[in-house]
Amino acid sequence: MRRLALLLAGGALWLLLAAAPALADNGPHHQGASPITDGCSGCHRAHTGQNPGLLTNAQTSLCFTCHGTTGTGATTDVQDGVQYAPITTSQVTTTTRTGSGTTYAGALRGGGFDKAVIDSSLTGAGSTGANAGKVGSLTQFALTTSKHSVDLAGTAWGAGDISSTADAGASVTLTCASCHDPHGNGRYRVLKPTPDNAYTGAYTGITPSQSFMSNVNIGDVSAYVYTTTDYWHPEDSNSTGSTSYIANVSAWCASCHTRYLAGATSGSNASGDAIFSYRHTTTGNSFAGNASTAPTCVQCHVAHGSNAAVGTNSAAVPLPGSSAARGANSSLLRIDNRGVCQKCHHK
Amino acid sequence: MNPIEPAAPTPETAAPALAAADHAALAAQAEAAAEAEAAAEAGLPQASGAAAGAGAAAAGGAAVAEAAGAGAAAGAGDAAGAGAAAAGGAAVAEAAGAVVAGAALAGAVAAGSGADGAAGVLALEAEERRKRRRLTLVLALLLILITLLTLVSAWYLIFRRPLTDLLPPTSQNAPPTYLFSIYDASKPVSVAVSGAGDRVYVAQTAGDRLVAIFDGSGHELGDLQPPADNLPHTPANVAVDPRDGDVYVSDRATGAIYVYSSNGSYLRMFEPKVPIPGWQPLGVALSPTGSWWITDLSAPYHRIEVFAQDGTLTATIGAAGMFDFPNMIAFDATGNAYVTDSNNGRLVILDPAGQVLATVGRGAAPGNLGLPRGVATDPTGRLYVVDATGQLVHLYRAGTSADWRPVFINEFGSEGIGNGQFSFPNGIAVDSRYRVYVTDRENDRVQVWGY
Repeated sequence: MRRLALLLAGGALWLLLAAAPALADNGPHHQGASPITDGCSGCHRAHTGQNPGLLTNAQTSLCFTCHGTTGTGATTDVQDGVQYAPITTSQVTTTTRTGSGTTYAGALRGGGFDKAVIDSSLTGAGSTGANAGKVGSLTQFALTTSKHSVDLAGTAWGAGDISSTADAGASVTLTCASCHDPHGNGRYRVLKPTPDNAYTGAYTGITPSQSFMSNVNIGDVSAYVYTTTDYWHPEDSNSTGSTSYIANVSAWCASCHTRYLAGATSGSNASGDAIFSYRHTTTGNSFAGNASTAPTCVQCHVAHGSNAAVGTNSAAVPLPGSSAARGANSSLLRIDNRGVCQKCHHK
Repeated sequence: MNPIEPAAPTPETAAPALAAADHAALAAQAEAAAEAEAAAEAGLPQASGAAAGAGAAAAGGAAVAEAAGAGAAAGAGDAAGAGAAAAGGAAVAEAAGAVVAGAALAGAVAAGSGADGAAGVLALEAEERRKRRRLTLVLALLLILITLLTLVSAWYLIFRRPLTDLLPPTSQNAPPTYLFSIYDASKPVSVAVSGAGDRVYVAQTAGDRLVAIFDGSGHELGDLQPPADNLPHTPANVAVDPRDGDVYVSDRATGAIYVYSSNGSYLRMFEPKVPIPGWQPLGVALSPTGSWWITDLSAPYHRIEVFAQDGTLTATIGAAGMFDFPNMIAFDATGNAYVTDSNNGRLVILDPAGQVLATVGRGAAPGNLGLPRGVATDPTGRLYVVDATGQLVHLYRAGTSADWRPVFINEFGSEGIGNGQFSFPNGIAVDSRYRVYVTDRENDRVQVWGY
């Protein structure tokens, strides 16, 4: 009997400790450091859930209740791509408005699903466009021209092994929780170490030889102070270091977009893939802003949606594995047309 | 024997009375005939009628006397009196004949009243007066009824609402029932209504992202256009100033509160007199004393700011860590404020000075909250709180000084897309007719409930 009691007590302790990581992070659905278990019922039902994940409601609608356009429950508005003042006034992008003199929010670095406020213009030959591609002060929303669609089937471009048979990628349907852990996990933007829909094949022929099935841990700093400058930008001190966002984010994106991960010589050596044959390197972990260094995914692309414009030539570029022109699809690029090329190559 | 009951006639008393009555009637007939003859000789035109009337009256008296003899209620003395009155003189007989112009009625009056001829006339006049009074009363009542019907008809034609709208709930514990929905609202998050319920203002967060104006029946009348300042406007919360009908719209993204007239014209911005860096107003409510209570999500921590009408900051409520995304505010008649402290999952009750009186939080008990957003009070002081993830509205009775914690009394709504079901309800408003307006965000509508 005593042994059984000890076993039960040990089991209870284990369950408590196991639950702690899910509650310890200052994620959006837990207040402070104290686990409030009643919060579970705000989103879940143990036996009567009406949606996957035991959710009471459709996941996207649930997320948008706080992270929607009015920002009634969060500092991030992922529909409009707005980042409201997080903690202190020093982190607020200051813009004087006529008649008020007050300041307000800036833009979300990943853009928004419906709208975005990215300064996407880059004009003049050889221009580096100091602000181009940055997310700056909130001036006016612009409709997105491309996005990671949620709740709609789309192609995970490049998902899969290197193959001589043309295959652009698997069809997947993303949700917010495909990439983010709503319970909090101590990682940057509560990103899942391995996103849902990650490619689960053999990863043959992928270079560099990175273990994609391993978790990609992107460190965070405490108290929601993610970064105060543009982390994707070369001047950002947060862009270096083995646990930094920049050092790891390409591997994280490649969990789904497998064949886009390419080493330093991939631009001059054919991969053997029918579609993704010669590829720009994406494995850099520093960005000096010139052609001799390798960028990462997020130095050219945003995660949610971009308002970059697409010109005639860019619009004529077909989507991978297709002969049809892409039209206004900006491929989540930060800068109009192919301005991201100019940022480093200055042609 | 009951003193007010007349003595029943007996055969012994009735026989002499009959004889006396017959005698009096014959005498009256003879006298009246004589007078008629005299009048005819004098050429008076009414002579024959008068004589006929007198004769009829006398005959009537005889007839009643016979009835009395048969045991009628009238006593023998009365019958004899009637006969004597008929025989009393031609003038009286003439008067009786002229007034009643009928033998039967004359006889009935003469015998039934048991009074003399003058008394009968007076009784007739009194009866006439009573009839006139009754008629006047009936006419007055009819006039009042017609006036009321006219007023009700006019009210209905103007407002197109049944009279029951003006009546308070029959039970203080009863929840409202679903009435209808206002569609054509794109992802609405908040709603405000004029006191009379003829203007409903709905903040839309998709589509054109404007505050739409509807009439009480749900017909769209227009929208509130913010100033053309090239800023990314998105309305968050709406409030109506009951003093002048002006509409206040908070916009967190632009850090502003825009003020419009009741007909939708842009008037001005409501601003803190001393600018607050990074101001992020969300909830807007007017206290009974005329100060504006506004929830502010800007640094250094979420709080409530109290402003005078001119924008002077008069108080700040909430220390660091107290509020976590306070969304909306409502007041009761005493000036106590009810604040949805949304991300803390609770309702905070404050006194007019901003001191916490009580809270309603999360838990398993009825009335506990998940993600409270909208809050409103009705004219009877009942409290409505929208639980956005609970997909329903909680109904409370206000607390008392003994315990300010509101008492849960009921709830309404459930998750779904049908009538009376919600998909992420958010804002709420109640008008003076006890109509309850709830924004049903994901169903793109505003539901109207009532009693």
